[in-house]
Amino acid sequence: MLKAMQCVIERDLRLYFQHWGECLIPVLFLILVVSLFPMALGSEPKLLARIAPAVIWIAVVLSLLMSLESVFRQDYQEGSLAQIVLSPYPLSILLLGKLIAHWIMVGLPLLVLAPFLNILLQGSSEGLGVLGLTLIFGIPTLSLIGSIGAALTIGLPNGGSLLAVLVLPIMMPIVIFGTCALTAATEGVAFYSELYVLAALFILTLVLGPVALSNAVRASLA
Amino acid sequence: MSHYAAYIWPCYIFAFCLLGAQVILAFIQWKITCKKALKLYKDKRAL
Amino acid sequence: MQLEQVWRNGMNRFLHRLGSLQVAYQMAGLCLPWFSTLCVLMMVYGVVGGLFLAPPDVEQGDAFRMIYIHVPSAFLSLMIYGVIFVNSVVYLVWHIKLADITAKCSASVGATYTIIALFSGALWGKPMWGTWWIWDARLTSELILLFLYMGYMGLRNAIREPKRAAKASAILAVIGMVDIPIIHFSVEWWATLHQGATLAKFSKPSIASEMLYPLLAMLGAFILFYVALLCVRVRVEILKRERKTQWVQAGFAAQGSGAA
Repeated sequence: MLKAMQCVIERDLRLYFQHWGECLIPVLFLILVVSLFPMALGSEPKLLARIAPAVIWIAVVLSLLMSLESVFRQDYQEGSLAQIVLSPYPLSILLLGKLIAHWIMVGLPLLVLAPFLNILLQGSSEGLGVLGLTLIFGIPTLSLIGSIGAALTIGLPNGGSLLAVLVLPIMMPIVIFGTCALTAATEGVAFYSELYVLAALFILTLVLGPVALSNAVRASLA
Repeated sequence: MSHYAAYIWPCYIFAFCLLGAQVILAFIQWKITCKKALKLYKDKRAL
Repeated sequence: MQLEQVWRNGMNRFLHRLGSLQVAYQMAGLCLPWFSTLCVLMMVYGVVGGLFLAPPDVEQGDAFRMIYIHVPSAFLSLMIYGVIFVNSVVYLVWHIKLADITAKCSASVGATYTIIALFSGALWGKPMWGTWWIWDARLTSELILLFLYMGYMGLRNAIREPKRAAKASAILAVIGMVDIPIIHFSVEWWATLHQGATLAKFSKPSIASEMLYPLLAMLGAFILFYVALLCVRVRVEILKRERKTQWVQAGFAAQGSGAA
């Protein structure tokens, strides 16, 4: 079973490497969105430092949404998604493999980039570690939720905007706890409770998400 | 009573307008569907 | 052993009858006049009682009269999402078509109640807090609930295939229901400004029965309005899906072809 998952991960990674230019787009998108804020709000360091956590989190959510929109599209069009559904191994495990590959190629770069964006926005250095911690739990949770939305909208004409409408309300708690932890950290207050809730939400989605995901893919392919 | 004019009447009117719109919409849908079904029935009988 | 078989047979027949679209169509038609009459009566009593008979509140003056719209619609908005959730689970597990139809027809009524709750909340906020909108926990949760309804209806509209639309939206409804407590918890966490829940006020002995009875009547009227509208909507949907079947055709034949 794990072997099958490994195969899916390797296959997806190979595909990502062949088209590595596509993996750069979410990263570029993240940088662009974040750099729009100083241009619109002015470059006053105090203001930027105050909004830095929120801006980075929102930009991460948007760029994840953008990349998740097409996570199943190619496989759906060429029919390999149907092959995965038909395979004897549990579908949720195989789809989890796809998401792990997606995390390695898209989530990880976003995670690495976030501290630099924090510097760009004059964010406090105390918040840096907490930003990394919240994103470590946040990005996988967000991509699990987003992938369910992507699975429900496979092959629909205006899937992208529909995906955002479906998934953003469900993602809201994660954004709230992520930014709350960061605000607490920059103010020097204890932020552990928010982090624990984020971790709990991550585990909850890790357990329930793949089941919902496999059902969503089955419903869309039937 | 200024509260009545400013807040309470708009609140009630808005709510009942929305509910009324739902009723009217459902009624129109009902009529259209009935008409379509009846047309289908007549077409089938004519055959 | 035999008892179990009898029980199972009876249960199957019961579920089958319950799920039968023909029975549901006739039942909805039978119940509709009763529900709508009762709804109108209760609504008239609720509005008259709430607007004119109930004495003004000691603290809030006349502004509290918005409660007769706000609280029932807020309650109904959540309850209808629960109904959609239950029907979605029933559809996903037993593939009963009626459950899917009920879920589909409930969504727009639920969204309407959510909009009413938001609007009346804003109108209530103006005299109480001094602004139309405050990001307090309950208003924000209500707003997110509206987004959930919109997503549900949007997904259903976007998918042409009826079976896929039913399954996909049922899955979305289940995920949304799992998320609602989390959303509420997170919003509560995040909001610094919030009052105590309004329903808790009723337990206080201070509330006069002249205030309480119209509220209960309005709550009943809103529930009956939902159920009555659901009856009409379900009939429309069943007629749309089943118009080619034998029983619909036979029904028209019995009515006489001239009747509209």
